[in-house]
Amino acid sequence: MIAIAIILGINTGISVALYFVSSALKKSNDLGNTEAKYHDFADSFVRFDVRKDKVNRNLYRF
Amino acid sequence: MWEGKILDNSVPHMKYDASGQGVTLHCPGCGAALVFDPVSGKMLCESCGNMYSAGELGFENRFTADEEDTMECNVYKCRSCGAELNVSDNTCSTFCAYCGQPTVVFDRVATMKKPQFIIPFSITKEQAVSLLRSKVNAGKCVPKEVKEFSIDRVVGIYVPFWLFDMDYSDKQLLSGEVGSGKYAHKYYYYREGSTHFSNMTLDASRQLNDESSKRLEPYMTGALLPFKADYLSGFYSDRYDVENYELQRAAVRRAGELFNKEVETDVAKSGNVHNIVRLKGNPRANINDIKYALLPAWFLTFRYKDVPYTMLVNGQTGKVVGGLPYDKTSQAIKFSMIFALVTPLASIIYYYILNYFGFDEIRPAFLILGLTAALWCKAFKNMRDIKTSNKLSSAKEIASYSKNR
Repeated sequence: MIAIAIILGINTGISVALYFVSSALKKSNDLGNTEAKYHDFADSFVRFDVRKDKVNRNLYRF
Repeated sequence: MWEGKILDNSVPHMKYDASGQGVTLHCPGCGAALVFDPVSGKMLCESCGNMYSAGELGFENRFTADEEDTMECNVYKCRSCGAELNVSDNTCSTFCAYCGQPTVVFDRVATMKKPQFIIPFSITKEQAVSLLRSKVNAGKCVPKEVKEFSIDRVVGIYVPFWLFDMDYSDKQLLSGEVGSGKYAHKYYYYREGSTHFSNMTLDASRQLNDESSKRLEPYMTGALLPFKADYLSGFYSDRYDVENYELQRAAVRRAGELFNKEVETDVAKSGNVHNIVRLKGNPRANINDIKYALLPAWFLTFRYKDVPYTMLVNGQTGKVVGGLPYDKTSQAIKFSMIFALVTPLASIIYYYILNYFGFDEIRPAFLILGLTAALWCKAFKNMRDIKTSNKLSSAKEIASYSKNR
């Protein structure tokens, strides 16, 4: 039981440490890592002519 | 030494260079060369400080796209990486803006397709340096030596872009899940819609890699102006070497990606839908127009441990792009400290949890593994992003891109 707890503990220790170090590093050193979004190139929203929820997939063959 | 000649009486301050083809503007007061000033939007004489509008110089609309399709420019070639730089006036290129080597030689006067549009620099060189410095100083993981960096060089380059106008429509069948765990239900959704993209930017230079140019975006294309050669004064301009037909498929793909995200958002909003998967689609794209434009970017280079790092600043919006170097030793120490703190604590907690549920019960162990797996994934994604950004900022990498031309 104690061996499993230690293995899980080491796994948690590595993942938590890696997550915190990499997140801080990304926030601090990775500048401008974003791309243009939909509205940077389109003046209006997508115009939906048909909008159907919870449909039978077999009815839509194209 | 440059020796110009008066072109004609209607434009008294515009002169051809010695070859009779390159054009430069000169100060009516002192005769020194004029450069475009991003702050005032006028031509500035760096010698006497006077400013002139294009109209005052009789230069207005002389090089708009309607009049001529081509223009002459001086082409400089880098012997080190093979990059070609266009310099439209008497600015003398002394080093390669891409790889930084001082092996740049005048190559030829070339005819290039004249851009139809341009976004002039609205961020000055000083502002670009200041923006970078503020970002660097704000970084908690940036080494002290980097925070005190001194800029090796700052170059303003007009990067060539193709701008696509496109109608895009699609009908899609998607699946998505509502609820969670054993209450999760899978449903299907149908969407049929259309949109119009205007001025979608795609980098037209092989020299600057696509990842860097994508990160420089967005440019506010509402500020596009008809091209005038006087905006190029004092800056480099890169010539397009990717034809627009080569990018049409990429433009449609990009439109599709942006459209699909909007569809997914719409489906998600329809009732807390998650795990959305596109099953079928029938996209249609119609490219209406393709325009050629020059968009501004600052290239700022500094050195850390003898490695040059080139950061980019969007010359219109001031967005800073690139990966800053970091000290691996200090990051390893941080990692060790967190590891040393978390591991014994987690082990003790897990021991009590496992004891509580008994040895036969393995679900808690799997739950813990699942939670840490999510952290692993996020951490690896972060590390991959940092590595990519660092590669993009390394001048060596940019040089290797140019070698692939």
